[in-house]
Formats: sequence, structure tokens, C-alpha cells
Amino acid sequence: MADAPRFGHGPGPRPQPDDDPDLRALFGEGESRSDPTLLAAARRIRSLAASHPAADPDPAYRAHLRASLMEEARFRQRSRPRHRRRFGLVFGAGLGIAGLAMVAVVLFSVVAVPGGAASVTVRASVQGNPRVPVTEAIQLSFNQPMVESSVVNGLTITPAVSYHAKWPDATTLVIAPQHDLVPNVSYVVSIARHAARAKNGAVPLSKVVIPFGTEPVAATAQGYPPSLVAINQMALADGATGLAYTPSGELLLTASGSVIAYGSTAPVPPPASPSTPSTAGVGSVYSLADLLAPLATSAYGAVASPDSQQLAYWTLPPGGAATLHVTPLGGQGPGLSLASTSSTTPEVAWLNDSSLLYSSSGQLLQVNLDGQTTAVYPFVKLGQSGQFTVASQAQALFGSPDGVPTIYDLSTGSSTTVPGLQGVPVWNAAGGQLAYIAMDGGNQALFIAGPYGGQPRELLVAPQGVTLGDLVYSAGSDYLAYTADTPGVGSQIGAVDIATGSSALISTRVGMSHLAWSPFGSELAALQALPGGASEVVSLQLSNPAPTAANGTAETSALDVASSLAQLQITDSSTALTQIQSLLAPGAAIPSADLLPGNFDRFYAVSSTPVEPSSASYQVAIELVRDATTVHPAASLQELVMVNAGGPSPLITAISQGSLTTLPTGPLVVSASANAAPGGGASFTIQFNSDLNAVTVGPQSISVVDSGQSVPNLQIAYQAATREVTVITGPLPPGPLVLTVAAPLSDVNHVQITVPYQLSLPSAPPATAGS
Amino acid sequence: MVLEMTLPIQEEAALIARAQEDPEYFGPLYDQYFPQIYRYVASRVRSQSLAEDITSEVFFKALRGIGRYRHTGHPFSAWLYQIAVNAITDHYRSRRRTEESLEQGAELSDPSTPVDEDVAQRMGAEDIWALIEALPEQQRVAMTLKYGEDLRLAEIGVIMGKSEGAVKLLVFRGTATLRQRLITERRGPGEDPPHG
Repeated sequence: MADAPRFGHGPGPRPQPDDDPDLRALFGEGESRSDPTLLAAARRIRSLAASHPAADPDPAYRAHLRASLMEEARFRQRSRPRHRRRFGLVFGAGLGIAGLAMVAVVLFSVVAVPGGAASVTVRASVQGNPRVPVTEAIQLSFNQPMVESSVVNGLTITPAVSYHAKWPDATTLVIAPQHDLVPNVSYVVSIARHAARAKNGAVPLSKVVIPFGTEPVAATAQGYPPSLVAINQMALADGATGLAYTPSGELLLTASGSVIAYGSTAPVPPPASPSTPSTAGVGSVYSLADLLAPLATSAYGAVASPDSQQLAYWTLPPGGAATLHVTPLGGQGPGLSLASTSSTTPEVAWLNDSSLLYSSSGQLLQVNLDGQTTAVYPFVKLGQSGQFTVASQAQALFGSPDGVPTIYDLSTGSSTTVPGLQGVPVWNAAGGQLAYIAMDGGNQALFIAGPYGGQPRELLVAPQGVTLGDLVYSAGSDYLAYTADTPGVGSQIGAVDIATGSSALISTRVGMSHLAWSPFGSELAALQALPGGASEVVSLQLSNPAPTAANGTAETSALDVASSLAQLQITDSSTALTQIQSLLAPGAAIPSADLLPGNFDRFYAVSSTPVEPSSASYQVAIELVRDATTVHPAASLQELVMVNAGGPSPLITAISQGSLTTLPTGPLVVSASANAAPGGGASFTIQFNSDLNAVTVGPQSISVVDSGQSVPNLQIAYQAATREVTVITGPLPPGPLVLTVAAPLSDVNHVQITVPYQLSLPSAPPATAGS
Repeated sequence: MVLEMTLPIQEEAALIARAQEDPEYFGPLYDQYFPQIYRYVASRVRSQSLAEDITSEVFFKALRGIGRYRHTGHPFSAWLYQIAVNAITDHYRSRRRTEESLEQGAELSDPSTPVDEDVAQRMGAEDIWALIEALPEQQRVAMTLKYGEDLRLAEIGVIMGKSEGAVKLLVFRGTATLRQRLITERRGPGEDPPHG
């Protein structure tokens, strides 16, 4: 080992400072820079530096770090490549921030870990509580004495929280956060399965997952800057004209030009029909999950069927009749040409999974997938435009005969006019309410009304000169999102709480249009116009409104059995498959690969809805979530579970699963504000949802660009107690200002931010009196 | 005397190869190199909690990156030091430093003035390290590795990605600056430098 290089020295007393040949060579005789006084200084410095009291690491910290490394190493080893299927049916992207009600739904199922005498089980003080005070410590009670260091080493809280762990006894762990938790946030305390080890060697049957929510605080004041949400940039498109979610959550984009998925290297060429003149609204329809091949080309008015299996759209050949097509969304099977019309802006809507409504010559027609066409609802007059929208259960329809906005009750034939209605209204999911824009004095206003008359309710009045548009209901019909186009600013996204009428802009981005709210409620997709004509497809990660809690007996049973399925799917047990099969209805043809879809850590029961009104069959939406490791990012899989709750015991009749979707991890910006700084600069305050790794907060992760030029010499400070980062610039020239927060910013769990955050301002905030 | 703390090269190579195949074998590497990496980081950041944060970052990065590690004839610890140096640099980049004035201070040093040994004696290790902390980034790294870790100039060059000659210059300038600072300490901040 004589040749082995020596690097550094180990623990214990530092070596005695003897003569260092380097120093002698550097400062001593024979060197060009020979200087005896420097050599003496160097030796003295070396001696003093060596007497620096050794910084003894905390043994607990050293052990903790080793255990954490080994836990991650085990994850890496377990997570080595395994085959994962791709599905034709792709579900919506992202979990976003789980709604509190989602947490409440999941609790009973997570706690119900299948038990055995040897298994570890745990209860948490915050269990079942979506409104935990932000100052509260979390107490975990185990059913048997635990290996304390192992538990703590395997414990993670997301969003990341710095905490002290205390063990009053071997079965009780108290987690005391170092700072108040963030209000109105869903947290997950998790303990790796093999880290949750009892002294007798027992472990739980699955990873310990304890979700809970913190109590909300009063909503932040509206105005400038608005409440902000994280934005995920998904794709870039030329000539984008449409964006819509299918009922199962697949996001569809219509664009007449190239589409580039972020993360890909090559643009998708436009479909081959270059000689076709461009018609407004016509383009190729893409699934955002697979932009390589369009689902349909030269399409207009595309709309997915209720079961998300078919796509209906028009083609508008120049000088010819418009043709209605239906094509399978999954790409298998031939497309159908079902009908034609001379209308230049024809409409189509799905009546059910096998029939469609469309307009032709002012009449409403119905066509089945077998091509049979019949005139229906002869009392409905659509006018020359043929424009209509129909409620989800086809109980009512909006048309505009002779330019008079009219609502038809399709069951009775009665009609109601809606004076002042502008554009086309939107129906809520149940079809019992529609929202529309009309004038109130000289201002545009947003109204809701029942479909059969009655006094409309005004939800909000836009300021003078502001144009409203792009109305879209949230999944639970609790909120309406809209665009507000302010002269001199641009079109921004707002949302209004239908119950209270309170509203706020939810993004500072401008140029927004074509809103689409995901059926899972956690995302709001939109197109953002960019300079040059292209559009960016963006997805706002929402702290989503809670779905309505299940309260009916049958619905509760359906939710129970779907949650039991999901719990077994994340349980590492040789009997899981057998237990799952006991939940299936006789004859249910479900591929075994769908029963145990892979390596997931937790799940959320997102919603349960009857397949038909008053039906005992329910469709339960489940999100299976896989936590991030060093090998793969956090991801989720959407699963739709069909449950027949009509029999003596609820049974699963079908399962469909989407593709694996990457989830944002790491710190998330929950709010940001900008103010004038002394001397003509700007001061930004950015609040995060998690405790940050202070080492990563700095110019390497936070930048400000003014008029395209990077702003130097930022003063960046992190306040751990409030999870706030302040950024102060020097004097700024006038011009658009963009603050960007990106990797390597990390939380205390060492997870980097995955969704870069940007705050764009038209110019530096103006100084106010006294500032 | 420098303690022999580097693993025998074959043993180290075998451990690395196994860790690359199965990350759980990273443990022995961690056990071997934690003390010196922690101590180095702690000597640089002077805060136990920050030292722990950075040391954690170093070893997590090493674990995550060990698959990409290639033996280039230098010990594994050189790679860990490299990661640590970068992590600390990232940290200090977030704290604005007035490097220009210190660089100028180095130019103003008077090599003819002897170091007052008494002053140096009165100064403690904390003071010396505070002066080292005030050096420009590159000098600070080189000085810390030289005086704090007793590494050879060639080894420091490997860690910093510089030639041995460049490291020599950094250590020379850093030492000269420190000596000048010692002189200033001796005179007191308000006193004029000697003439002639």
C-alpha cells in the first residue's frame, strides 16, 4: 500500500503539525517566491488551523444519515427497472395538492391495514382530521415497542417539514414540527415499511401512510397580486384552438400546426393536408399523453363520449358539406362517418355512449353509431348558426333561434328566453344549472341560473372594460373558472366560489384562454398565447375544491369496496391477489395485471358517482400514488373502479387504469408577492409549502430577469420560521419583470422543486406612498 | 504525519464496484469517509446544523451518482471532496461576499514586514479560520484543503479541477493575505502602516 494515495485524515486528534514539504517547496529555499517570513507564517497558520477544535458530529445525526442513505439505497435497489404497461386509455395528469376531503375519504382505508398478530399497526393523533391546527404536534401510537431509530430514520413528511422526534415510551412517537405547519395543506406522514420495525422484528404489511390536513385560514385578500398556484408547462402548439378533458381525465388538444411536448426533442409535424385552407377551430386532435400521432386530423368541434372511448368531430371540406365522424379514442377500430350538414359551424354533443345530437338546417337530429338518423325534439329551433349546448343528462338544451338565447326543457318542450345572454352558456355536471355572461349596466357580469327559468343569480361583475369568457365548471360544480381580459394587461384566469360569490384571479399569467377543468378537480388546463402566435398548454395545479362527501349507504359501500381494492393493491402480501378476487363480481373479466398494477405507496379515493341517476352502480375514481425515489419521480395512476352496490354485498364489475403520470415533488410555491423596494428596485416575497434546504436557496435557484436581461446582485434571504424567501433587487429599468424559482432548490427531504415557478409582472411594482 | 485513512486501493475499488451494483453497499464507503468529509464541511461552514445539511447533501449526491463514478487514478475521497467543495460553494454563493476588496488587500501586502509571532500566538484557531473564511472563494477552498485537511497540492488540484501550479498560486496568495491580515490585527484597525 505504499503507493496508495492519502487523502485527508480521519477522526480523532489531528496529526501533529510537522514540516509540510508542500509549504517548504512553496515558500522555502530554492523557490522563485522564496520567502522565509511567508514560510514561517504558513507554518504558523498550519499549526493554528490544526488546533481548531474538532467539530464532533452528533452520533445520532451520523447514524440517522447512514440509515437514511441505506433506506434510499434499498429503494434504489428495489426500484431497479421493472416492466410497466402502457394503456390506450390515458387519464388526466397529476394529483396536484390533494383536497382535504380526499384525505378524509382515504383515512379509513389507510388505517385499515390488514392486521396480523405480528404486524405493526399505528394510529395517529391527526388521523381523520382535515383541520389540524398548524401548531399541533403529531403523535403516533404503535401497537408494540418499536426500534426507535429505525422508525425515525424511515420517517418522511411531505410537504417537507423540519421536526424534532421524541419517544415518551417505546410505543409512542411525538413529531414536533420546528415551525408552524402551513394552513390549508394536505400533509402525508409516511414511514418506509421496513423502517417501521418493532423490537420483535415485526413490520407493517405496507408502508405506513398517515395523511392529514391543516386548518385553513381566512382567504387572502383579492387584488394585486392575486393568489397564485403552481403552473406545469405541458406542450407548445402552433394554431391551438381547443382544449378539453375527456370524462376520464385525458386532456385533448386541437391544433392546426406543430405540437411540441416539453421534454421531447422533435416537433410533431402537422398532419398532411397542407393545401387545405385553415378554418377557425379546425386542426388535429392530440392527446397530451401522446403527442406523436393525432387522434383525428382536420377536425372541428371534437368532443369525447361519456365513456371516453370515442371521439366525435366534424370535417369541413371547402365548398362541401360538413361530415360528422366518430373514431375510437384508443386508436383501435375503424372510424365512422355518420352524418353531414351544410352548416359551416356545426355542433355535436353526445347523448349517451352510442348516440349523438347534431344540428342541421336549424333542426336538432340524433344519430346512432349504427348510422341511423332521426329528427328529435321538433320544438327545438336552433337558428341558422345551428349552435347549441345540451345538459349532461339531456334534460335541457340551449339554442339561439333568430339570435334569441333560449333554454328548452327537453322533457316538456317548454322554452325560456334569457335576455342579455352573450355567447354560449355552460352547463354544470348535473345539468341542473347553467352559467353565462350578460351585461349589467355597462359591465360584463357572470350569472348562473336554473334551466327552467327563475331569477338568475349574479355571481360577479367585471370592472369597466374587462371582458369575461371561457367559462368552465369545476368537477364538483362548486366553482366557475373564467378568463378576464383587462385592457393593457391581457387575459387572466379567475375563479369564483358559486356558494359565496367570492372570486380571485388564480394566476398572474396573461394570454390565457380555452380553460378545461380536470374531472378529478386538481388541475385547470389552459392555453397561453405566446408572442409569435404559438400557444403553450399549461396546467394549473390547484388546491382543489373538495368533492362532495359520500353519504348514501350504497355510495359509501361502493367507496368502501373500491378503497379495499386499492389498499390491497398497495399491500405487499402474498394473499393480496386472493383477497382482491373475493371483491370481484362473478364473471368480471379483469386482467390479472390490472388487479395488482405495480409498486405504489398510497392511494386516494377521489370521487364516487352513480353511473346513472338512481343507479346502484357506482364509478369510483382512485389515485394510486408512488412516492419519489432516486430512481423514479413521484407518480400516480388513475384507476376507475366500477362497483355494483345493489346486491347483498358490493362487488367490483370492472377496473380501468390510465398511464403512469409524473407528479410534481419537492417545494411548491404557495404564494408570491411583489412590492417596490427602496431606490427603484423590486422586493419579492415567496412563500413555500415546505421547509427548504437553506443551502439550495440562492442565485443558483432564484433569478430575476428584467426586459430579457438577468438582474445581478440579488439579495436573497430565507426565513425558516415562515418558509419565506425574500428577493430584493437593485434599481430596475422599466420593462417586464420575471421571477423564476427552479432547481436545485430543494426541501429538507432533499427533494428538488420539479415544477419551476414563475411570477411575471408587466413592470417593476410602483412605489406607493411611504415606500 | 498524515494518518493513513484511505482504504487499500483494491479494497476501495471492490467496495465501489459493489455499491455501483447494489447501492446498499454504499454503507461501508459512508462509514469510511463520513468523518473527514463532515469535519471538512464543518470547518468551512462553522455551523453544526448547516454542516449536517451539507454533509447529508454530499453523501446523498454521492449515493445517487455512484453509478456514474469512474476511477481516474485518484482516491474515492477526492470525488467526495469535490462534491463537498461544490456544495459549500453553492452555499456561499447565496451569501454575497466582497471579494474584490480582499483581492486588493492581497496585492497591498508587504512581504518585507515580518509576521508578529506574538500576535499569531494570541490569535486562536477560531480567528485564523475566520480570516480564511474571508478569503476569495478559490483561495478559501485551497487554503482549507491545505491547512485544514493537510492535503497535498496535487491532490487539491484534483479536487478543484486545477493544475498543481494554479493551486500553488492560490495557496501562496491566500497565505500572503492571511499574513497581511495578521499584521493588521497586530496594529489595530486605525493605525497607519509603517513607512519605508
